[in-house]
Order: sequence, then structure tokens, then C-alpha cells
Amino acid sequence: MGSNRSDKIFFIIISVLVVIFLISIGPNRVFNGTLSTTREVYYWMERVASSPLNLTRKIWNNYIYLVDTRQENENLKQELAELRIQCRHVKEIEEENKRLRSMLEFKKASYTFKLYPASVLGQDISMIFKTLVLNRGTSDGFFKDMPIVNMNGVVGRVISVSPHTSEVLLITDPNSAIPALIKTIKTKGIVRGRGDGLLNLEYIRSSEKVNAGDEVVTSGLLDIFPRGLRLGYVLTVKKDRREMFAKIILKPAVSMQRIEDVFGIGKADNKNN
Amino acid sequence: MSSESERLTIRIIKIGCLFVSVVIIETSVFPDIANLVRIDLFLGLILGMVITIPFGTASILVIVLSFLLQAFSGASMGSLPFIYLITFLGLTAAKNVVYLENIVSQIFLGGLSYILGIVLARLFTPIYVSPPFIASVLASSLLTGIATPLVVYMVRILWRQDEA
Repeated sequence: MGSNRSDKIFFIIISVLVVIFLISIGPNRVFNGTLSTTREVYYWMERVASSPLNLTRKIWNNYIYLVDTRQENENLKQELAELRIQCRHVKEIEEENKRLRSMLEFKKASYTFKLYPASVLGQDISMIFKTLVLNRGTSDGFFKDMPIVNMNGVVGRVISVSPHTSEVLLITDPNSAIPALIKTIKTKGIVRGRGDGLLNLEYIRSSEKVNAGDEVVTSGLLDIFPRGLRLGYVLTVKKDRREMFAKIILKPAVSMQRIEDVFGIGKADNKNN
Repeated sequence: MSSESERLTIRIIKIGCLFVSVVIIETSVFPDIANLVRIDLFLGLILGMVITIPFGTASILVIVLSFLLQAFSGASMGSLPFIYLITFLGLTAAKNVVYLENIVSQIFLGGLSYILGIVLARLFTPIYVSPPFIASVLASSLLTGIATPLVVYMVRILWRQDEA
């Protein structure tokens, strides 16, 4: 009797296994809504768990740590004055740049982007896949396919979003592919994640002159990433006369090991001058 | 009968709490300490369930929890539950051959399951197997093996706490 029941359970598990396998080889993220809810629950639990620590940090930062504030204030005032002078200088350069552009009749759309700051809540549980969970979601202006960057370059793009969290697919993930451009020679290709922390630059002809250290930026195709964001630098180039395309490996511009704060890039306001 | 089902519910909630701890440690704590290695504590949870929990209940828990884990990974939908369910069935089969209560066999099976999981994951995603990647997989499997008996012990304690 017991063995019969066990056989039935085993049969059900095998059936579930087959169904799961069929789902997994189909289009990704069929149950996105359910997963977002899971992350949303995780977000609130993390907030509750970290609130005592945040309170302690607040007390420390706002009261105990302010002992040397006066001196720091003086230093900051001086620094501000210096920065104002620098800023004026930059504005002058900007004006000059504008003048030169108009002189050359260089007609180009200028884009202004709004940046949305976010912090990393957690990283991917598996070793192969490279994703991040951010503490910002639709309620903060984040949306699916939003480009995520930091000061050094492109981090990835949002693949799933809930009201307070977003899941970001890093450029180093094997499922990531971004249209790119080698800055020096203006040749276009595709940057694909390898899963081992490096990137591949594909579809660059063997005849192109690519050197180690060349900067690779986003090409702006597909309208997900704006043009000119830094992706990485050429690490190695392998050319084979029998092969049409060169094998190019890139080092990402962003060190993916320690990402803490990032920015989401909002939709562009296209201002044609 | 009702007290029996109540006891089962409490036990499942306890395992759920352990699962939440595992997720927080794996997504927030471990990446901060060392990013190049990933210790899979969920494998310890599965082995603990194979040893302690009846087959029917354990299999449902593995399916549900591994689906929830999917929210914290970039793996394609269903691939994580597939890998963990295969691991669960493999460990259940091993139960008849290997003495799973032994700590050494738990360490060995934890490490081996980790490597097999990576091999299975390659079915779904084309990844480049470079020497540094192999080194970090081996280091991760070793650390996962070492952590496995600890999680197994916790599952056993939580499941059998109300006995006797």
C-alpha cells in the first residue's frame, strides 16, 4: 500500500519535472508577476531586518559623528569656491564647443537623460548567471529594459520590475547582448557576456585594425542603451585567416565584483537644436 | 488528526524561515564577502529534506522553494527548479546506497551536487569555461560541501524539535 503511494508520488514528480523542463526551454520568464511578488516580499523583509542597523547608523551619523563638523564646513566652503571657479571655466568651454559645432554645421540631436539612483539589494544566487536586485522599482520611475550604469560605464539593463525592486541583467551574463562600437575605428559589433566576468565582441571582421586597450561603447542601436556609454576595453584580439570575424575579448569597464550604487537612465527628451 | 496537520504546518513554516535565511545569506551576505565563489546552501537544505522529511512533503517543498529561488537569479524560467529537482531525485536514490547521516558523505554529496548543478546549467546557457572559472567552481563546491552538514543539521533540528 505504502509502496503504491510512493510510486504515485514519484510519477507525479517525474511529470512535474517534464513540465518544468518544457517551461525552461521555452521563452524566458513566463511567470514574471509571481517572481516580482517574491522579490517584493524580500524587499520588505530586508527593510524590517535592517531598520535597527539604519537607526543606529542615523544616530551615529547625525549626532556622534558631527564633532568635527565646523572644520569640515570650512573646508567644504573653500572647496565649493574652487568648484564654482572650475564650473565657470567648464561653462566657457561648453559655450565655445557649441559655437564650433554650429560653425561646422554639425546638426545633431542632443539628448538629456534623467538619472535615477538605486542601491544593490542582492546578487544572483547562482554562479553562472549574473543579475542584481535593486531597491528601486516602478514607483521610483524604473521600467523594463531601463539601462543601468555607474560612473565607469554600463552595468546592465532591467529585465523585471516590481513596485519597489528591479532585477538587472548584467552585461557579463551569457544572456546579455548589446550593440556596440569600437570608438577608435567606428566599427560596429555585438558585445555578449561570457559568464566568466569577461565579454566577447562579435561580428568584427578580421581585416579591421583592432588593438588591445581600444575603448568599446554602446552604438545606440535597438534604442535600449543611448549611444556612447562605455562598455569595456579590448583585452585580446585573435585573428585567423580562415575565419571571417576576429575573436575579441573585452574587459568590462565596470568592476562587477563590487557594485553598490548605480543609476537607471530615464527616457530621453529629444531636443533638436 | 488536526493536531498532526497543525504540527506539519508549523514544521513547514520553520523550513520556510530557514529558506528565507538561506536566500538572504546567498544574495546579500556571501557576495559582500567573496564575489568569486558562490556557496549553495540550498543544496544542504535539499539533502536535509531527503534525510529528514517524508518523500512526498519534501518533493513539494523542493518544487515550491526552487521556483521562489528563481526570483533571485537570471536563469531562464524553470531551469533552477529542474536542476534542484534532479538533484533531489538523485540524492533520494543515493539514500539507498550511501549512508547519508555520515558527515563525510554529506560533504562529498554537497560538493558533487554543486558541480553537477553547474554542468546541468550549461544545458540552458552557453558559458565559457575558462581556467579561472573552473577554479572558482571547485572552490565553491568545496565550500558548499563544507557548509552542507551544517544546513542538514539545522533542517533536522527544526523538523524534529517538537518530537519526544
